[in-house]
Amino acid sequence: MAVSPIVIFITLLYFAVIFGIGVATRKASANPMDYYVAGRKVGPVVNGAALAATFLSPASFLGLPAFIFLLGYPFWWGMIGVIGGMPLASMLTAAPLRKYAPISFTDYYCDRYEDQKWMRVLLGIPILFGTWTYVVLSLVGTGLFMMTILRVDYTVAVVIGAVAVLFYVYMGGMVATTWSTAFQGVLMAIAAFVSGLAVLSAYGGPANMAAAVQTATPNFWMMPHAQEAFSHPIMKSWTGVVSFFFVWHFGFATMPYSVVRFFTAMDIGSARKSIVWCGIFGGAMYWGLMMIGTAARNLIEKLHPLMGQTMVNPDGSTGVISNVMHVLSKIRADFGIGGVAVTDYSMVAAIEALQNPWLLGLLAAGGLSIAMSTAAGWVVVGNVLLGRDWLGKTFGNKWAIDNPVKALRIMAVAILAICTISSLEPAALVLDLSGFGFLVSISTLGPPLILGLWWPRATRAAVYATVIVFAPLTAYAWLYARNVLGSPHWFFLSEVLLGEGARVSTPHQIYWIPMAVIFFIIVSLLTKPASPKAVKAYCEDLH
Amino acid sequence: MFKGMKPYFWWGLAVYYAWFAIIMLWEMTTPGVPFEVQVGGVPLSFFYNAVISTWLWPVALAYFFWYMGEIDDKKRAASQEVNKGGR
Repeated sequence: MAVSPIVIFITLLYFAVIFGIGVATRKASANPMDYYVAGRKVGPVVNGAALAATFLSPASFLGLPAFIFLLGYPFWWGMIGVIGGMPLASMLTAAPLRKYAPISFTDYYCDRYEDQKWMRVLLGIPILFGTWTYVVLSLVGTGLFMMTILRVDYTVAVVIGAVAVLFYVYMGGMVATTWSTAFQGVLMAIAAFVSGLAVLSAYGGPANMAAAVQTATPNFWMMPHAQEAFSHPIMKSWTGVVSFFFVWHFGFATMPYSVVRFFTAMDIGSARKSIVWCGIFGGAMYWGLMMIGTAARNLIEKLHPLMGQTMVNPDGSTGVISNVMHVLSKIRADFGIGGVAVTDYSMVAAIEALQNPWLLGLLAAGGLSIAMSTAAGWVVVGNVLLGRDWLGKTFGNKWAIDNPVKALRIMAVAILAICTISSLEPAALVLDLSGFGFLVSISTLGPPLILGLWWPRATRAAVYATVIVFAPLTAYAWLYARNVLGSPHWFFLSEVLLGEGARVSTPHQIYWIPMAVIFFIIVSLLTKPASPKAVKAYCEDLH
Repeated sequence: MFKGMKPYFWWGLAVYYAWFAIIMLWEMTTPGVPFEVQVGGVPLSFFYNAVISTWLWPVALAYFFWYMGEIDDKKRAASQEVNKGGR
């Protein structure tokens, strides 16, 4: 299939706006506060759109419709849980952290727990791991969109994406990141929402779409427990639905790449209100993705231009492309990236099936938006950590202290260079690790942040213990479930507790987050509390 | 723990999660709910989950927290003014 000039035009327009924002915001480099936190002048609409674009990654745009394609209706609950967790941040972290007004993500921990040096090193480990996994994931997403929709060579696509992100982060720091990410947030919401409407329209409305899905995939709408049959083995028991609801539920309030956006808001009210706008943009996008994921299987089989064409089987024989898996396998064979699952192409293939170049162009721009905005969000977390917190604050490097913007720029180059190299050969494990990156970040960074803000008894020793114990523990559980049981979504002790071959669907966050909170509380109660001065300034006075 | 958190936070969360729990329990205890319960031929799940749970409900709670927070801030500011005047 040839690429429509309309698709190319929309993509070029997108890049022109992104580069234009980088040029327009270059003056931010004159003031470190602008470069770090956009001068704390960002209003709620812009901050809300930027929050949505930063927090929601290509894993949302490509992965969640693919999960619906695979797991059926019960996975709607997984998506509900992602957006559903956003309002919690309003009072738990957004308002108190904006009142405190830090510069970097680690600042709060250092002040609250009275440890200005090694705390930054310790917390930097899960933060850098999250930065690496998410930036790689985002660059792979950029490559995937440009390759499958625009037929650009994968390596070229990844390099273009990395250079574009580097350009605006380098030029305008947090100011450029905020404005470009806000633009990307609006664009991705429009792209997904309009695509969702187009899918419904292709069927003549939601009633016809639902009926067509039911006819083609009778188990699609089945919830566990209510019936004997199920939509997918992972959704066989109620634990699957409940677990997926909570998998990403608490991330928005505690993950570094979303939390730093609360620092940029112009005041506390703006920080709270930006979550309202984030829900509006994110909800619109998720509604569209739900519709696409629900219809994908049927839509591809009904309308995709590859259906009926000849395919070459792995053994060299030829056959006819006659079902959705043939279509996705053909796309993967033509544009495959090591480690990307065949179902991850279902979202793009579903929109391709509608054969509307304007829609495909919008999807390309929306997909690039969500990928590049998440990459930029993590790069600004990582470069502040390395350039300011580690080089300057921890190791006292005079050059980094005297040249804060230059230090951040060098670190942004280093982060993107490493992540670009990692993205060129993305092994399956690297892509899967973004799930682990989320798990380790939230389990180790979440409890000390929330409890530090809301519990005077939270202690420094508990922070150290939680990071040291839960980083390797979550790694072991995740890798064991993935490599031994076959999926990271199985409870890692399924066979130990229930016998060989047993599988209980419980993605890790459902138990590791409460375990980490309980562990943090116990260690806090057993160790020396922070000084009354620190508790008053960084806990009680922030309420 | 959570001393100083406003009561409306807990009330808001109770109502918020009750909605999700009731819908989830309904779907997991009554066979066929997501597709067979329909309004005008459209599965009701398209309204209560795709539109309300995914979109309107989180926005409503975020708006509620923002609105109550603004009232709190105004009350706090007024109280500080009174205290200043009294000194």
